[in-house]
Amino acid sequence: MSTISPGLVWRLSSRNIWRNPKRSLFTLLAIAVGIWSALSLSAFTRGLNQTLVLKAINNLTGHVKVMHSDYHRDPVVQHRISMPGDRELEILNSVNVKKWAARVRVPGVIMSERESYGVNIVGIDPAQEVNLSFVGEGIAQGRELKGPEDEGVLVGKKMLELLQTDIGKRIVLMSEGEAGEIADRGFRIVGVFDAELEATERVFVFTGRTVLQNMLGIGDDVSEVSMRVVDGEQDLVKTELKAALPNDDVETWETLEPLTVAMRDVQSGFLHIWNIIVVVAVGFGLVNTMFMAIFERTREFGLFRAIGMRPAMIYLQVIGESIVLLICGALLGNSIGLLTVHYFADGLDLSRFAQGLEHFGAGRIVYPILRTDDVVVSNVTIVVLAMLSTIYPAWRAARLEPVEALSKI
Amino acid sequence: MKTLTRILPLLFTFLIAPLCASASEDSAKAKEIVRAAVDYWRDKSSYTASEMQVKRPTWEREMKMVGWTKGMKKSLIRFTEPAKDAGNASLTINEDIWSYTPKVNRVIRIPASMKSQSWMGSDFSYRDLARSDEIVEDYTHKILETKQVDGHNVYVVEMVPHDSAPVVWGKEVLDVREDYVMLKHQFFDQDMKLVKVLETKEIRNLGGKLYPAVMRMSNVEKPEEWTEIRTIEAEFGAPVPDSTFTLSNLRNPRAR
Repeated sequence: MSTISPGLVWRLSSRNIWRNPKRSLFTLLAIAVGIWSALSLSAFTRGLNQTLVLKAINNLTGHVKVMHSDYHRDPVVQHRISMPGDRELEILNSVNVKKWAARVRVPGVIMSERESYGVNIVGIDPAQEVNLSFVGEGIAQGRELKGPEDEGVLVGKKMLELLQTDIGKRIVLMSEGEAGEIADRGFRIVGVFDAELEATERVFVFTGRTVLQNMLGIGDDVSEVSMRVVDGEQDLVKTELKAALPNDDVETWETLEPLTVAMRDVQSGFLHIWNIIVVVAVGFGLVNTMFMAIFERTREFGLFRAIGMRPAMIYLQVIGESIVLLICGALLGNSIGLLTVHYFADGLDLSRFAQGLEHFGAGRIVYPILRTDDVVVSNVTIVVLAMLSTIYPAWRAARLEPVEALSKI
Repeated sequence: MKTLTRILPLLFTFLIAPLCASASEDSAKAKEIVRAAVDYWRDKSSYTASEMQVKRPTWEREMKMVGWTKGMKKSLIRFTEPAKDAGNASLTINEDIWSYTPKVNRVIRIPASMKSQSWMGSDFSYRDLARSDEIVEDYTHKILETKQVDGHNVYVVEMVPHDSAPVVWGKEVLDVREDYVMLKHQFFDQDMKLVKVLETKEIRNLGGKLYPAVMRMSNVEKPEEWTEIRTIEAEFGAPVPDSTFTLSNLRNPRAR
């Protein structure tokens, strides 16, 4: 019976937007900026998180690590494990494990003629470290270690500076030996590594694994076996190793790097908070716009009602107007967001803030990562909640008394 | 051609081989000198009473101490004056050093990381304290020259640490008098720049033999900073009981 079809309501909604283009444009921009900020912020945070986690894993942690059950608590030479045996090797060489390395790692002291510093002395088999840790990624100056028998040492760039020494010169490394005695010997610096974090350059000193084993008098034993696994198989590998080595400690990086995990969780939480802030801001803006639109058109709504438009249609008309605004705003926001992420796809160089970033362990270059679920969550929360916020003005419009409305100016 | 092949071995025998031989003989002799000097200095056992003066640009202080050594690996040093430092003691057995501070009534084992730090605020490090015959085994020795000082022959021995030796210096040069009294010990960095010097300022007859009674350790880069140890009284070769070098004696000194 009614001649007022939903199609007409829709037409009315979209035309109402152009009644006051300036106001609509600002609302649209508010929505767009909200979505854009949510998207780029989430992409940037995810990127920062990614570098954070990669850094932690690269920092001699790996995805899974096998240690003596007391090593994590007290990393001394007495808390060591034997080289991987047959059963362990079977797991380590399976398809689930990409790379693994056995290392000797003890606290010690590095000394030059002028200075001495506490460091972590790490004995490595350089071939095992490629694609596993930062030391396998190549070095800045000098040469790399040639094998587990290499008697040279690699020190960090910062450490070289602190010790006031140079490549080709000798330093002394000192640690506690197997029987609690002092184990020390001279080494020649053969290379210098350059890590993104200065702390890393200060903490680690690398030499051949066999050489360090001989210095400490621990035979063929090692301190840790660290590995990188295929995505998603981390817990499986951990369970298998734990079954094979019931007396040793098998941990994933989440346990070994609680700070990184906490940082990651805090940042994810922050993203949600930001989404809510954006929703609230956009929502209020939208409510305000819709109220203004309704007050302007009180007489018009009264007329509609008088000529027989049902309240539901008026309600839909107002909601429809906000939907058009929201969809256009969302489209605009998403495209600017995608463009922003695309623009920084080659990495956002934060070297200027490097020192500050070091405090929370992030690298100098951040690659933004736009995850589909982040896009969906931001869009859905913003669009849905903003729509909910227009229900009230729409409801007010629908409830207008025709006679009263018509008599308004 | 034929003559050349015949001449080459001859050349080697008469020209090169003696050089090599003399080089290794020279190094053996140098090593002997260093060993004898260390033996002469530490003796079988010793007791010394000495003063230590630490000099800095803005302040200086003096302490008195007594010390016992036995063999190459054991030593005990205890401060007696001033009252503030009295009772502070350091015990060295092999490479381990323990320190006792009466104020806190605690024996602390000096960790490896602290060994290169200053001992009692002086220019000596804990390492210098534990140092004894390492300078014999860890180095390659060479006599640089033999010179005349005050009517004595003095050997100048260059000591280059082995690559794997736990020594940070580029080389050390030791001046040893023919009667094995050490005159000077110079420490060079790896650019062969002189860093610190331990010098004998005065030789006196102490405990029945000539002994470097006044020794001064100075830092070449900071000329106004030095530490002098003046030995007042000494006894050598007298039996020192093993119980002297124990943690309980470090904490609760027995009457000597």
